[in-house]
Amino acid sequence: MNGAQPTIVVDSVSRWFAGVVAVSGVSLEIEPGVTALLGPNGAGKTTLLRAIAGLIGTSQGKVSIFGEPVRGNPSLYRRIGYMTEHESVYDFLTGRQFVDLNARLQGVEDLENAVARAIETVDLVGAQHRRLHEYSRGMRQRMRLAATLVHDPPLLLLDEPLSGTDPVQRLHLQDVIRDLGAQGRTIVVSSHILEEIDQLADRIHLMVSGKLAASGDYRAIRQQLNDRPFLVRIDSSKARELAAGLLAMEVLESVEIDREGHLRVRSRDVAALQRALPSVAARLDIRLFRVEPLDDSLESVFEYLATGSAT
Amino acid sequence: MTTRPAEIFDLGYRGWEGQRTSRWRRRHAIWRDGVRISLGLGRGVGAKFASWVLIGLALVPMVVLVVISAFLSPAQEAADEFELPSYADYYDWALVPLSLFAAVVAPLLLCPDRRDGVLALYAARPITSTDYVGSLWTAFLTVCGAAAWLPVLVLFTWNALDASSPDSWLRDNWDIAPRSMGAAAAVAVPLTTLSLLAASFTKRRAYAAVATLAVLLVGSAVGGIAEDSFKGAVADVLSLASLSEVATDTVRWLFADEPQTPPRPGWATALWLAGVTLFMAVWLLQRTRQLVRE
Repeated sequence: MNGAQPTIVVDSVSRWFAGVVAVSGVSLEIEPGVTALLGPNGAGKTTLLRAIAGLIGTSQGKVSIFGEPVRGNPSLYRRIGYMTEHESVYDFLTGRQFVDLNARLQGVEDLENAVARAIETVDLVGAQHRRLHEYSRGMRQRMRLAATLVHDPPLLLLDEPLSGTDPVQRLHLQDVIRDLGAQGRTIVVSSHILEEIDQLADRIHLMVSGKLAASGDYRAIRQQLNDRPFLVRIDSSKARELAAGLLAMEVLESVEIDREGHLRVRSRDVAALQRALPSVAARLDIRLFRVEPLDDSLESVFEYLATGSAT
Repeated sequence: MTTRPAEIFDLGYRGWEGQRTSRWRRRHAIWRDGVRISLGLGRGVGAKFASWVLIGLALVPMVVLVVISAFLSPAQEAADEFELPSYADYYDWALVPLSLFAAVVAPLLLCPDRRDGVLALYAARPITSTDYVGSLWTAFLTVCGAAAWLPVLVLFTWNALDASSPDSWLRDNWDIAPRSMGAAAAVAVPLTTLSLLAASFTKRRAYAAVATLAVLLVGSAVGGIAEDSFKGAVADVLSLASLSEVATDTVRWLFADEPQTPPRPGWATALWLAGVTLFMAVWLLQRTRQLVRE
C-alpha cells in the first residue's frame, strides 16, 4: 500500500504569548482519517489548532497543509473547514442562512444543493429555518459543523466539536465525524474529554503543558510506557496458587488478591506475562477464566502522561 | 499458476477542486450581511430602532419642508415668506443624526464579531482581512451614504417638479446630481471610516460610539475655540480639527456656497478631509489585519 501522505506537517512549532509558552517545540504529521488532539485544559490544543489553521503565527517553527504554508494563504481555506471552540455565529440568522453565508464566503457555486447537503449531514433539516439563538448548544454545534463542511473540504479542523452536546447529540456527531473520516478526509478533533475521543479517533496526539507528550494509537502509546507497570486482572480457579507460581517470574512487579479473590498482577512486560501465564496455569492445574489489562485505557494513558509530565 | 504482486492504493479524499465563485461574490456576501446588520433587517424591532430613527431624523425634516412648500405654493404670498434650505444648508442639520447613526450603528458591524469570536469565521475562509473590512466598510457606507443623499435627492426632485419648466430646469441644474453625490460622500465616507476605526479598538459598542462622538465633539470644540480666540493662519489650521466643520465646508465648496469657517480654498478643505479619511482608512486596515490574523 502506498502510505497516505501527511495532510498536515507541524515542524518544531512553538508559540508564546507575552512570556507564556503555550506551545513548545511540537512536531507532528497528520494523515487522512480522524486524529485527536487530546490534553487537559490549558495544554495548548487550541493554540496549536489555531496555528495549524493559520489564524495565529508561530513564534518558531513551520506549519504546512497540503504541502503549502497556511499562514497568509487564504486561498488554502477552500480546502479547509475550521470550526472554532467558541460559538462564532450570528445569532439573528437562521441555521440555513448561517450555512448559506459560509457557503458564499467559500465561493460555493451550487449554493442550494451544498447548503441542503450539509444540513442533511448533521440531521437538522427540520430546524434549519429557526434562528440560531433558538437552538440548544448541541444543535448550534451541529449547525456550525454543517457550515464548516458546506464547501466539501478534504481537511476539517474541529476544536472541541462535541462540547455542550447531550449524549444523544454526541453520539450523532461522533457518527458524522467518523463517516467523514471514513470518506478519506483528514479530520483533526481537539478535546479534553477522554470518552469523546476513545471511540472516535484512529490516532491521538496527546498534549500536556504545551508539549507533545505522546503520539499514535493510544494502546501503542501505552505499550511504550515501559517505565510504568501494567496492571492485569486474572480470574482463575485457584488465585493463591497461581500467585505463588507467578511470583517466580522476573517480569512481575507485584501480585495481590482483592476482596473478591481476583488476582491483580503488576508487570513491566505484559507480552512475557501473557506467554508465561498459560504454562504456569497448566503446570499447577489451574483454570484461567479471564485475563484483563486494567489500565489499558486511554484514560489511564492520559492520566499517567499528564501527571507524570507535571511532576 | 503464478500470482502477480498486488498493490492496494490509498484512495484518499477528493472534494471539488474546480472553479469557485469569484472573490467579488465572497465580498458581496459580507457586504450583504453588513447592510442587513446596519439596517437591522431580519432582526427584532429593537435592532431596527436606532438605525431607522436616526435615518428618519436625517430624512424626515426635508420631506416635511418639501410638503409644507408644496402646500404653500398656490398661496404665492406665504410661499415667498417660506424658503426651502439650500442643498448645502441642509447638511448643517443632517450631519447631527448622521453622526449619531454612524457612532451608534457602525460598531455593530465590528464589535460583536470581535466579542463573539466571529472574526475566526472570516479568518478561516478564503478571504483576506482587507476583503472583510473593505466589505463591511462598503456596506455601512452604502447605508450611510444613502441616508445622506436621500434628503438632497428629495429636495432636488421637488425643485425640478416645482419649476415652471422642469425640462429646462433639469438642463440648467443637472450638475446638482453629481455635486449632491459628492456631498453625501464627503459626509458619509469620513463618518463611516471614523466610526469603524473606533469600533476596531473595542469589543463594546457603547465605547466605540462614545469614542466616535468624542472625536467629533472635541474636534468641533477646538475648531470653535480657534475661531473665537485666534485669527489668521493659527485659527485656520486649528479649525481643521473639527471634522464635522471640515465636512460641511467641503459640502459648501461642492455646491459652490460660501464656507462658514475662516476663508480657505475649498479644494484645500476637501483635500484635508480626503487626507484625514485616508489616514483613518489605512489605520483601520492595519488594525483589522491585526485582529483577523493575530
